[in-house]
Amino acid sequence: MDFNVSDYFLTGMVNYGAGILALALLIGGMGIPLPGTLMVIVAGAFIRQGIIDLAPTLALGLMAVVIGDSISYAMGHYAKGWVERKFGDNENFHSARATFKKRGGIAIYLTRFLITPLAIPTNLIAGSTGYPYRRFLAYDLAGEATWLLLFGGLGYAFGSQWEVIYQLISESSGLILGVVALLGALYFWQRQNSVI
Amino acid sequence: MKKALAIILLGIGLILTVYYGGRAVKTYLIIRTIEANIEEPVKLKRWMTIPYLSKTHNIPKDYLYQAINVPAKDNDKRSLRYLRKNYYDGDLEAILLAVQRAIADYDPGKL
Repeated sequence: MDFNVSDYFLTGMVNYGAGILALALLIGGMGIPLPGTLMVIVAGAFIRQGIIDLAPTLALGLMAVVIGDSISYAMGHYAKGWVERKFGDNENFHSARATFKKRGGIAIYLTRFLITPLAIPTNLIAGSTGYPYRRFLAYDLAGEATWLLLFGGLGYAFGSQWEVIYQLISESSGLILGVVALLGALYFWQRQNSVI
Repeated sequence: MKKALAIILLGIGLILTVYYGGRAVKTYLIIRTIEANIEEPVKLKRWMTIPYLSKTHNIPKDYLYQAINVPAKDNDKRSLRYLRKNYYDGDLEAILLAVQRAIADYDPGKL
């Protein structure tokens, strides 16, 4: 099958500019798996090549991804009733919710650019646990701005060689997820032992 | 329950860390060698359009269309992927080769 979503978005970005990037980031923010990081890196390379302009790309990209994240936050928010019914009696759920309310900001910020595979689950958790939307928005804006500037900047810096930098970022993302899983294992192991 | 979760996370963590860690190191070694090539022209990809190649290689797009035997009319927004379907019987290699040749043969003095 000769179908590649990235190809369509890349051709679209060449033809129609930042609007297509914004569309991809909006859809990605809503939880539909699209290569958002790839698009941001390529946007940086396109800015260097003079294909698109910096200011509208950054403004539209940031606006779109924040709207997308807000939509997935809202999905979590509207699923709150269901989550309450399902886990409301569970003590661990209340403890996790309290922890998220206290320290969720850093999770929201880091999952925007460092542990991106966990971004959508974090949005859904934030919405479903009643994390205040204003705080979510502030951390989300900061994290997404970091993501756009960092990866867009890498695309700009590496110019025509952006594919290699994208490969490294994808692999680093998997590596970071692995490290997070190992830290999680350590955390649960310690808790298990402290109970005993 | 917590012990089981810790073991599952440990397994997943080890697999991801070893697999992606190895690949990341390999890619990093490649990156160290490409720093000097950042300003090199882009490699041909099927998502590229003729106006994009014209801009990135600094070659007139009309020349490119003519060199690859594709009419310029209505094709500015079409990718190489689309053009090969309509003008190269679906042969991606053939259109990439034609564009590559056209770029290599371009001589601004001749035009």
